[in-house]
Amino acid sequence: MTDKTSYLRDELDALVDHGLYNTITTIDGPQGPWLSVGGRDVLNFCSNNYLGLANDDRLVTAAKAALDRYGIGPGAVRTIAGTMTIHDDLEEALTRFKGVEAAISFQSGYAANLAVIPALVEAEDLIISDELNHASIVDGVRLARAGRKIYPHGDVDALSDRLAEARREGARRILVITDGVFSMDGDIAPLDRIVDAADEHDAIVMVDDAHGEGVLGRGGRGIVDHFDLHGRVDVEVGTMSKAFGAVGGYVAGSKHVVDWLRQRGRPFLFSSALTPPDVAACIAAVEVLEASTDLVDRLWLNAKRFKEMMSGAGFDIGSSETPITPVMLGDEHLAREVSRLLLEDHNVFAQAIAFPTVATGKARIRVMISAAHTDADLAVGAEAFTTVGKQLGVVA
Amino acid sequence: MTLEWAVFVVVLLIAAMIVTGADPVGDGDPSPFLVVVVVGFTTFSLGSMLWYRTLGSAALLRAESNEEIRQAYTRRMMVCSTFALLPMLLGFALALATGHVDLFFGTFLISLIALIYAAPRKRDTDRLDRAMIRRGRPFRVSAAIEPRDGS
Ligand SMILES: Cc1ncc(COP(=O)(O)O)c(C=O)c1O
Repeated sequence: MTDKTSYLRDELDALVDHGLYNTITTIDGPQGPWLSVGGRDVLNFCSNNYLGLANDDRLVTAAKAALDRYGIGPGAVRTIAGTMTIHDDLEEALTRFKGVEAAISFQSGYAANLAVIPALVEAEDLIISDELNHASIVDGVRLARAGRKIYPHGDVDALSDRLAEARREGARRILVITDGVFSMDGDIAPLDRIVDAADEHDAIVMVDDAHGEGVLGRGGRGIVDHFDLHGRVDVEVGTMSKAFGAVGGYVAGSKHVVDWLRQRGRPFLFSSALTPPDVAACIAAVEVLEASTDLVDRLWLNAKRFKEMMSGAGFDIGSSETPITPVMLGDEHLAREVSRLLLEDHNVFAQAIAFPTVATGKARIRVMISAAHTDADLAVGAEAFTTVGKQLGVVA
Repeated sequence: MTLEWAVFVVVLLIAAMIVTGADPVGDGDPSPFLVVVVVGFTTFSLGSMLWYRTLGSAALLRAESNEEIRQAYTRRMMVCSTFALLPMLLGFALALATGHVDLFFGTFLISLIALIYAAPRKRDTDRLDRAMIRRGRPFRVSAAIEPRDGS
């Protein structure tokens, strides 16, 4: 029998040749500032565990209690028999935390985007999306039947032009979508100006705040709070898989948007609900954030310290405005080599990010700073970067 | 720190008056010496206020988080308000020492105007926000410092 998928072997070989083959690292223990990889303790510089909640006692305890009370499986999709009291509790907690009318949870941030985008627009409508929006938005847009336009990254004037164009072309409804924080560069969308531009053309605004949730705004309430835009952003997508330390996604907004998603959000209708321990952990994360801003404050302080050390050592750390710290290297092979030496010689786990995640020639090591890192961790990491950087001629 | 320094300056000026034998007490207008001291000192305080305000604005525009904006904004307001208050404090001290109440009224009026200038004002935050936008920075002073509805 011929191997009908042999072309994939060639594709894989090409990936290896171009330095684009992704080797997946397996972690032996829980998330934290240090991870166990292949029997070694390595400094973790690549998780989205911004606040160190992924293995926090409060979340673990809540998850265990939920296991005892609700068991492990949700049993069904939310609309059939998969909605438990605890799902309602989570949505109530999120509504309170975000200061919105209502919220609905999904299995992941990815699922939230796949649910909300096709549900908001139809064939007569148009989506206008930032060119660097996350893949889950791109996929959500693909699933929607509406027309689409892309605007250059963060360029509000270009967005205004697209909006005017769309109105001239007679689009019925227009949906503007942007990431809140762009995960590869750590820059923040100029959401206030985007909302102004959208308002001028009566367009709906949706922001995916996956990397801003638990990071931006008062006590981590996200980008809408950061810009004080309460009541002016129609749809907020969030994830509980990053700063919240657990897993899951949500959409926050008006009662009717959320109610509509309960009727028409396909991942809500056709994929089983979040499991009870996940949900309990998410509720505990919201409670931790509501109780104190200490973790968020610590995260920002850590990021500032680390960025100062890295730019002091001569690294190009891009134009991040958030704790995401991209160490710009350009060449794909160089980025992978830096990552390899960091891990093998210095026990620092910081993954290279290359095409197709970022444009070719824009390879980098994206350092994800966490509130859980100590000052010593940050110093060890920066020192390792400096040694490897000198070794490979990246810094003098 | 700034306040201690202000008290020190006031005490120093009164001491200078005594040492130089200036006798401002009397009927009629305050002596030219006193007027020169008050005008000079007021110019110095208001100049310092404007100078620090420029430094404070630059720090605000460089801030790397809303928390840093809040801190920089509060610091700028406190320091500027202190400088704004100094002429009035001097006028008050001199009025006590010399009996020239009109000195106090004059400096009080100047301090009051300076305080209004240094206090939180929408025009000020709007101007800072526009400067942030011009610099392409995703931070807004108005959003960082104001209390909000969404809780
Ligand atoms: C902007 C954005 N949206 C959505 C997601 C997906 O979130 P989740 O991991 O919860 O599916 C991510 C995660 O990488 C993201 O960066």
